[in-house]
Amino acid sequence: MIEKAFKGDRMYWGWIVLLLVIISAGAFSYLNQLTTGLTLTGMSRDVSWGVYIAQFTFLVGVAASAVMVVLPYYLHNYKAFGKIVIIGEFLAVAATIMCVLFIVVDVGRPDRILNVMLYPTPNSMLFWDATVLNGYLLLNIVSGWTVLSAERKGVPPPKWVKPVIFLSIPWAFSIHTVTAFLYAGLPGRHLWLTAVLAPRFLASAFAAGPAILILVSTILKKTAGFDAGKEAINKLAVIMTYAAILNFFLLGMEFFTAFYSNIPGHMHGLQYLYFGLHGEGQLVPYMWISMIVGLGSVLVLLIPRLRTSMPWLIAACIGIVVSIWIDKGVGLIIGGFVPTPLEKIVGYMPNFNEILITIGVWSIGILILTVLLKIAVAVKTQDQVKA
Amino acid sequence: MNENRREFIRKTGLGVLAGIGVASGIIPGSSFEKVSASPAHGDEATGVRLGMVIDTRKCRDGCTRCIDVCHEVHNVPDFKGTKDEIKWIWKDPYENVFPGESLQFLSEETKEGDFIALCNHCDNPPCVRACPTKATFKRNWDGIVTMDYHRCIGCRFCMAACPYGARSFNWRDPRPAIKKIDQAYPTRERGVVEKCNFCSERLSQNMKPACVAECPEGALTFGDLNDPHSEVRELLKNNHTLQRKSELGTRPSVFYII
Amino acid sequence: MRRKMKIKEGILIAGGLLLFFFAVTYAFWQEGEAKKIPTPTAKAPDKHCVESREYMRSSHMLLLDKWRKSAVREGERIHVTPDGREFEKNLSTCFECHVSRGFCVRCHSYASAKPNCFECHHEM
Repeated sequence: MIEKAFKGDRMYWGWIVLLLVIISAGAFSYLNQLTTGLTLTGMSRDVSWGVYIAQFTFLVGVAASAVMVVLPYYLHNYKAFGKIVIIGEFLAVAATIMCVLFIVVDVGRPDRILNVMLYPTPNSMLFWDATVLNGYLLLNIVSGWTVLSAERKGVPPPKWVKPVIFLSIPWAFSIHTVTAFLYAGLPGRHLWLTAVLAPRFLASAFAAGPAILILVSTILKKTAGFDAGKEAINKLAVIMTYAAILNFFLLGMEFFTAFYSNIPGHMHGLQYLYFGLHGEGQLVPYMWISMIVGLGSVLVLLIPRLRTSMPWLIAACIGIVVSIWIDKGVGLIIGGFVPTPLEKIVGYMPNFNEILITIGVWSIGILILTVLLKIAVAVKTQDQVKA
Repeated sequence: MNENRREFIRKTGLGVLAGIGVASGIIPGSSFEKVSASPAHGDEATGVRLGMVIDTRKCRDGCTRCIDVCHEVHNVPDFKGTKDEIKWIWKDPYENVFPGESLQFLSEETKEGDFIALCNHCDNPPCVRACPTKATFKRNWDGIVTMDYHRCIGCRFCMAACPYGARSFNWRDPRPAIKKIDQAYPTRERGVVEKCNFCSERLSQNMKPACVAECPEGALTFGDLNDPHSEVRELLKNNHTLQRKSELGTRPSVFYII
Repeated sequence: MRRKMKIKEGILIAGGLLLFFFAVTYAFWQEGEAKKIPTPTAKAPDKHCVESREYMRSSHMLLLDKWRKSAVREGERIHVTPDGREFEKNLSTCFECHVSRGFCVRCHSYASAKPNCFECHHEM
């Protein structure tokens, strides 16, 4: 089936080459980092995780959100998702690979990374995260690929794939829950030490994921002439609306608990992010952009006439992605570290090299997604070509 | 796909899987280790639990002898500024070392003074719980929380987990930033985490930790917290002491007489 | 015409194979013997090492790794040889007899082994 990825028009190849160029820039920067060390990032002993782990967290959400098309289609036999389900699964594959890559570029000794499996440590959440992520990757590759190759031959998919797909449903929830546990179980990190962190992760994932899915489907319609169907898009928009509202509701809970209880430690993280603390508020403008853009998008989504109009829907999708990316991909990580356990404000700004590596990893993910979707679209439209 | 080819791939795949399964049982390193990850002592005292009492009344402002000697004997690099900073023991104001404690109407001395901070060698260490490779572990024979630099993958989960900011990461090669390398203790490689080890290398030579031995005021006392007749227990019996962030349940083994 | 092409192809393939064969067996075409292995000596050659000379030559890295594990992770810092001598499990113990780092370097460079011990331990 892979041969279908090698047949494309000029635009397709131009896109692939462009991605490869960006990837090589990222690879070069990574080589730089390998030889000099993580000093080439903006991280320090106080803000010891940065943009890499932030991207990882955001992307685990994107990966998990595939369940929002898999579950209705396979569990509830919701036929409208028939064409979009493979896009969701392949998006999950690409996102999961990016997650793994972001972990690899973040560790100080990538040559020893297999120590995680060599010395299995069940009390470490990172051990479980590595386990469930790799499992999820496998489940999605197997189920997506098998169903697609059956479709290519015009036969029903083999029976054994059904349990694999069913297993991937709770598994999707587990990957983002475990990712939240990475943070939520650490004493002394007040912003993270909250029971709603995992629910909030899931809510924001189920908002941002479908938003990306709608955007990808729109691009596919424009470039490859593959239409996932109006009904599917509309349903996704509804899912996204509920999830986004839930996300902001849970954020409100955080604010209430912190500020009504008036416990300084619990307030400091949110204060630093949204209002500035001790006169320092590096992230304040970003957090308010996230808040306003996010709530604005929810407003658009709430009005059925706007939600069903394509330009408005696309704008709202971009808004939701941007909002959640800032909130989860920037604020959550930095806000966990600042103020530090010694109540100091320490700045963090990603370096040029760090940004190039980040963009490089994103490009690898987008390349994988492009190739997988190319194959998927080729299979899905093969009957039209023959006819 | 050709039927034979399919069969071949299937069988090879099964073979590889079986191989991995067998290998994971044979290779001794891969089986679960005996070192327990966080053998927190219960309320009753069992075994040796090394700890420290810091008499901050004796600690002189402006004196950095303990810091200097620790960083010298452990080859801790000195990068100017905070960007790549590595420290095992340092001084900070009261409000930073004890952020949970009351700051209202502090005595002049407490408000102005600097307080020593170092790894607490917690009885229930969150860093050990977080480490995915057991590269940091609590020694079950004396309670010291230590690092296995040969195993650390540099994920920095322990740094996120430590509520005391006691851990540092080697963002770059430390050697150029070490003034004079002490041959008695190794330097570290780029990409691993490090922290205070309660001078376990000196303890094995029957010496006291460097900071304790070198303090000109005798402000630091070291010993077995589980031994009711030890010097540290004597101090704890006769003085009111604080542990940093005791509300987190980490049970620090470093106590402060304020 | 077609036949001619085939012959040409045949020559090309045979030539390529020959070249490949020559390239991979090149090392064996050389005349002469291998360079003599350097045999560094310890400072006190009359004393015995912790294990036999043969074992140390082939497996000293395994011993060092075992030492490291038991000293760091299990707190067993003393190595007792079968004949009852005691050694502290420390790289410095080695250097008490094997005084110069050249002792390690000469063999390692001969064998093209690149241990990273000296990135951290015992700089001279």
